[in-house]
Parts: sequence; structure tokens; C-alpha cells
Amino acid sequence: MEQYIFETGDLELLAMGALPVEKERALYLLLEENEVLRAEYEEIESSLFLTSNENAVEPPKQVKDEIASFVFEEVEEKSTFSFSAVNVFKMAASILLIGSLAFNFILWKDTNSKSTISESIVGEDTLEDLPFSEPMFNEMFAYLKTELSEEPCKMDFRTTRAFLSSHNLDTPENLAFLKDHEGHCDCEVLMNVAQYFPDNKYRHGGILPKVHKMAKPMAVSFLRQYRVR
Amino acid sequence: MNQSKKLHIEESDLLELLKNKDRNGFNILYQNYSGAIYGIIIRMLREEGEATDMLQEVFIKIWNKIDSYDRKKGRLFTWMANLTRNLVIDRIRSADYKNHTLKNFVRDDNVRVTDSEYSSVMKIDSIGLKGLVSELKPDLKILIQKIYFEGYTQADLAEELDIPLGTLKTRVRAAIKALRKQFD
Repeated sequence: MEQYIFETGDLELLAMGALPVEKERALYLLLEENEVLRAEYEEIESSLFLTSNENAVEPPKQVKDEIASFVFEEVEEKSTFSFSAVNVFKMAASILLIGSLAFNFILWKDTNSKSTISESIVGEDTLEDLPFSEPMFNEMFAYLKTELSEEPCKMDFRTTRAFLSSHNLDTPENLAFLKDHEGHCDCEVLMNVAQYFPDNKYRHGGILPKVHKMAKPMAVSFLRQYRVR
Repeated sequence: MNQSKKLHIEESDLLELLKNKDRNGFNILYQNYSGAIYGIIIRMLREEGEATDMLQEVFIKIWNKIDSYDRKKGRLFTWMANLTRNLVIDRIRSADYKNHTLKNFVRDDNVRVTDSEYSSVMKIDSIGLKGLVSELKPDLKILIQKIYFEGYTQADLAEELDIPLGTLKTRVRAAIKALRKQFD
């Protein structure tokens, strides 16, 4: 850029928008550095602004509304849809949220449906086809609970059969019923067969570990909480 | 335009509203500046239909380009007035406007299109300046009229008035000084 030489009248011409672009740039830089010049420039601007106001001409009434409708329609159109990064993120988040809600709804319906089916099966198996009475089952579960808390399961039916024998119920049919309902040993009878009863008190949410010897301390600890006081 | 209609607001507050595309900002902008801007446009184009179209264009431009306004370079009105003059000059230079009967002048250091039969000197009184500026000596008043209200460049005006550029600058300074004295 050529060296700028400040001349009389340049400041006034700048405020009037009549200075060549190259001089404009140089003078703006001077104005930023020189406070006295800046104050002078502001005085000139003020005088020209007052002159403009004195020479103002009122535009036709409808012009304002025409401009307003144009600029605000444009703003509304822009706000309706814009491919900014923020909007894309918002859209993606909305889709994920809706998807997540839909998935959870489907899952909830599926769970309800399974629960209904399960309840109907339980109803059929336990309440209609029990090989012996429900109070007798409850008595057997209480007995198993007491005995197994003292002496852990030996992976057989010795405690179950002891109870059944004492009530003349030790039959192959009764044992088959227990096996059909995941009762393959004493502790499984207590934990698994009991869960088929709607008001079962022995259910804990799953089957005990199959490796009974390793699970012994855990099983004993678990069963002790059901000790009858 | 009635000065009492102007709404008082700090320029920085108005700018904030304009940058946020606030409707109140638009209303204040229009209320406070439309008359002064239109005063420049009508003196340059000299036809109401063209001038109102241009006023719309100017305000839309101001609205859309407000972020490019730099406060370090002067007050908002100075920026708007310069933007107005440039848009009007672009309009006058546009192809469809060249056939218009109102063509009279293009501010450009290299290109000058003057219709001698429609000399702008003849038009001063038809639109005229009001207020304190009208009380200036004619040789000073004409400088403000031509440069500020009609968009002449210093070089074009110096040529038209047949005076050296240095003399024109000195007179411009004297004209503004006289104006400032009157407003004081």
C-alpha cells in the first residue's frame, strides 16, 4: 500500500463516504490510533447526521410494512428449516429419543405378553394339575427350607422323598411332576418348583448354581434367611 | 419528518436488537432512520417509485448485513448512509436503469455518465436542502448537496465545478466546519 498523506478535508470526505477505498482504509487505521482525530471525526459524523435528519423525507406509509413482511417472512422461513450443525444434532437426538421410546414400548408390551402367557401356564400346571394339594406343597417347601438350611442339598431327592414318604406321597408320578417343573434335586424343588406357585415365598429370581458343592456356602446363607422363627 | 417521532435508544442496544433479528429493533431502526435515508435516496434518484423500491432494498440490505457493521469505523448512520449511496449508484449503473430517463450521474473515478440535458445542478432547487445546511453560503452548500446527498466523488465534483482537488477539499472542510458551528 502506498504511503498515506493526511490532507485537509479527508476526514470530512470520509464521513461523507466520498474518499477512495485505499485512503479510507489508511484513515480508519489512523482513527483507531489517534483519539483527537477520532473525536473530530465523531463531531463531523454528528453534524452530518443532524443535517440528514433536517433533510429527511417521509417515505410512503406502506413501505415499512412491505419491508417488515419481507424480512420477517425470511426469518420465519429460515427458522422453519435450516441445515445448521445444531439443527442436525437436534434432529438426530430427536430420532434417537423417539426410537428409544418406541423400542421400550415394544419391549414393555412383549414382557406383558410373556407374563400373561407364563401366568396362564402356571395356572394350568399348578392349580389344576397338581398331583397333591397346594397346602401339602407349601408344607413340603417349608420342610425343605428348614432341612436344607441345616444340611445342604446332596444333589438328590433324599429330603424331598423323606417328606413325601411321611405323607404317603412318594410315588414315581409325584417325582416326575417335580422333575417336569425343573425340580431335579432337593434344592431345585425348593427353588424351581416353588416358583410355579403364584404366592410362592421361596422364589429368589433364578435357579441355584448347578455345582452344588461349590455353591454350598452360598445356598446355606441364602436359605437361612427363610428360617422359620 | 417529525423529529419527536424518533425513539430514544442507545446505538449499542439497537445493534443488539438488530443482530438478534428482533422486530422491535426493526421498528426502531425504521422509525429513527428511514426518513434520513429516504432523503438521500430521493435526492439521488428523484423519482418516488424508484426511491421507494430502493428504500426497501436498502433496509433489507441493512437488516441482512448488520453483522458486517464495525463500530470502530464510525456510527451506525454513517455506515447506513454510505451503504445507501453505494446501492443507489449500483442501481443507476445497472443495465435496465441506463435507459431510464432519470439517469444523470454515476459516482466512479473511471466511469462518468452525465446527462447534460438533465444536469443535477439544475435539480438542486427542485429537491433542495432544508435546515441549517440551507443557510450556508451557496458555494459551500453545493458541496454537501452534491457529495453527501447525491453521491458525487471528490474528483468528479472537482471536475464539474472546475476547481482543483485541493481547493475542493479545503472547501468541504470549511463547509462542515460552518455546519458544525451552526449546530453548536
